[in-house]
Amino acid sequence: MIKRVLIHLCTVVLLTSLQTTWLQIPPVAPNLLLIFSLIIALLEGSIIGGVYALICGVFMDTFSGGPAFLNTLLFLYAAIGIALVSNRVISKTPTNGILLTTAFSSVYFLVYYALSLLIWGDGYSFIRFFLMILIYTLYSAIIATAFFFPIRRYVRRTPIL
Amino acid sequence: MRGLFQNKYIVALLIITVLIIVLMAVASLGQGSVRVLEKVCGTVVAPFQKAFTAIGDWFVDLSVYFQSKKQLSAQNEEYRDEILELNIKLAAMADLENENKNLRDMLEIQKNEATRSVISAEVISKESGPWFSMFTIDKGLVQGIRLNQPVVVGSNGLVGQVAEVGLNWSKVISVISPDSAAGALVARTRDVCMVEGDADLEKQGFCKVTFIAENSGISVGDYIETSGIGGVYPKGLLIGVVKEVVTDEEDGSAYAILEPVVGFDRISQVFVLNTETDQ
Repeated sequence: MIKRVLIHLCTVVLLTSLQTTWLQIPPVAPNLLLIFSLIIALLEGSIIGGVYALICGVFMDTFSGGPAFLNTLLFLYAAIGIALVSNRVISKTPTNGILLTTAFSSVYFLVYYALSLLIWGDGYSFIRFFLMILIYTLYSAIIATAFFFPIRRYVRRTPIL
Repeated sequence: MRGLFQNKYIVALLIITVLIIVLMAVASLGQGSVRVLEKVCGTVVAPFQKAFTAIGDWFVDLSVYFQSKKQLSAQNEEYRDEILELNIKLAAMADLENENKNLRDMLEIQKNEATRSVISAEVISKESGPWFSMFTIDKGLVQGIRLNQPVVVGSNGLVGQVAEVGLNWSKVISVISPDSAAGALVARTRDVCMVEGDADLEKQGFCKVTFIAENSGISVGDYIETSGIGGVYPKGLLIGVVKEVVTDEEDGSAYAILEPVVGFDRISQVFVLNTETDQ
């Protein structure tokens, strides 16, 4: 149990480092921490997913430069949301999981920028915003596909509860 | 509504949400204590970020290295082509320069010798050996070349005279040939003398100045030019520079070794002076 928590914490730290160093791709970068917490929530359920989302959100907030704890809150709700949808609405297949992760990631992007617009007044033109969300969704789909299978294999091998 | 609050998960979620919102509010007010959590996270992540940045920089350096190597190679290739192209241009320019000089010389001759016509000719063959004792030019009877016409290079450097004429070719005997002789004078003193070819001196590219008057003040470095005596060469064509003055101790006569002004070893174009028009 402790070993797994430590491994996950290390993963979070590594993903944060990766996110804040190599993945500074303008205009948008794929959100590794969000995708990681969404997949955990998808596979482990809303409680564990929520805890991971909180941790990942705090790490994300530390380096995002945006309003403090905004990511934490959004990560939390996204994780709980994806867990509820996967438990009650659609079947748990890898394809559904990846699609759901991508969809929630894109919704997070929309909400985050809507809130940014409200809080900071940072707005983009419609075409620019459309392109940004398109690129972000594409990135998310690629990262979700890359993350899903290794995480699922690891979660199945060492269940947390 | 009451049932909703009985669900402990929802209650927990609401508490957490409220807590986060409170934290957001406090953080937005600039309270340092709330930032402690962020500082802890930052401290934990910083070494990893440093490592990732270092690795990233290494990859960037590596890619720049290979890119620059590739660029240098391409640039090198480009420069080679450029050098080749420039060399070709340079050679073409040298030709043009040469041609320009020849044309200027021709113009100069025509100015100097206003009454004479000048025929430009290319040297097409020469006798074996380093010096042009005799050589062939590409103009002949058809172009108006006649026997004994003087041949010059530059504005007035004497080469020799036409010794044989064909339809479209002519043979020119140079001033250094043993068969050649020309009436001359020392430019500085105006002393009359004779320039003749000498079999021994010819091999060195020199000729001889003879019939020097006893009281002549000829000395090394004097310019010798044609005197116009004899009718073959017009007056004032430069023949050469005195290299050495030799005096015979027995009879007191003197001769000088003359270095022609014309570089016979690299002669390629000459001008034939049509002296007939003078007459």
